[in-house]
Amino acid sequence: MPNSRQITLQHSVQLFFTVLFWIPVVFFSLLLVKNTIPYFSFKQDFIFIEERTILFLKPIYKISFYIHIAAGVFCTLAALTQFSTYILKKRKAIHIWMGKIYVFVVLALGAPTGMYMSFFAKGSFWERFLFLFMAVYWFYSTAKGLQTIKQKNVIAHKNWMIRSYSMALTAVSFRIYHILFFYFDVDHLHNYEISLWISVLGNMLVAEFLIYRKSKAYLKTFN
Amino acid sequence: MKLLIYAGIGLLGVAGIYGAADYYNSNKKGSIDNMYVEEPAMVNEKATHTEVVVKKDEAAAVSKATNSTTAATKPTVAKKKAVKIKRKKKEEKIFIRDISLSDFSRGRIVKRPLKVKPVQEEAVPASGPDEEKKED
Repeated sequence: MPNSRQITLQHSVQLFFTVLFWIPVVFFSLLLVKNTIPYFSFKQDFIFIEERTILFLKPIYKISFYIHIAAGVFCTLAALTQFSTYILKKRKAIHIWMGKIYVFVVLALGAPTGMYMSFFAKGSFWERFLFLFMAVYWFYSTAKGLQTIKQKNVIAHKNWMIRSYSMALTAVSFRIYHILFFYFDVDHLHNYEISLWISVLGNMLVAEFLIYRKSKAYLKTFN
Repeated sequence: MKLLIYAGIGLLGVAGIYGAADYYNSNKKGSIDNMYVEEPAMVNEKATHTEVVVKKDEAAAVSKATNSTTAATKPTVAKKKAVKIKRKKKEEKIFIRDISLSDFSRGRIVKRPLKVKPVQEEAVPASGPDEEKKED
């Protein structure tokens, strides 16, 4: 059995890695929100829109795009509050209401619009397929998270919400890889494809690793 | 809860079917064929252009230098100190990987233009025939 010094050391290491993980996540999430807000001027002089001028002539695509980015902003902000132990313990109402907003936004707005837009995504067939998969997996994991908490299964709820958040965070991680590969002078299309695959698969792997580690720690308590 | 999930599934299904149909139609019309085709990079053209300029200037500098040295060897122009204009490099190209916070988006990251330093001219007094004699 570990003594009090070992426990303190374990806690401080855990705190260090938690802070190390959350500082960039919060910073880049807020940066994402900051860079998304100018799109709501509904001007067309953004590089992302200029690349898709033909698509933006379709009203349905245009509407989907604006709903999707608005959903992204709500999801990013709502999700930031969801993993805080303090909020979960002391301000449970915030967790519940933010969770409701997150679930509604994903199920009704983010995933369906993402699904439609995935057909016109940049890249080859496989990149479109990946976007399609993301939309379905994001929807499924969020729906499962909702279903499990209604069944009072908190552990399963946590696991499914980690998976859901990993999909929401691909928006952030993609941009980080995109900038990194740009810095290493990878041409744009390859950069886009590589960043997309790494962000999706990487986030899924990180999520599964976190779930595995949590489950391992949980199962240990039974010994 | 169930209502939201079913509504979501419905929306997802509609979005999937409509998206597939829309994509099929657009593809058939050929309106989205060359949507993401990359334009030729302008930066490279500029770079080659500057290189050409540098080469031309270097060539001019070399020819000038040779002229001035041949003139200096003539005994009739011995009293005037010949000044050889030495041009090291007319233009230096610098590529700054300037990544700003606004590049944090799904859109293409635009390469920043090459920054060109202003012309640097260094006047170096050439070793005239007098100085050569002194050295002897």
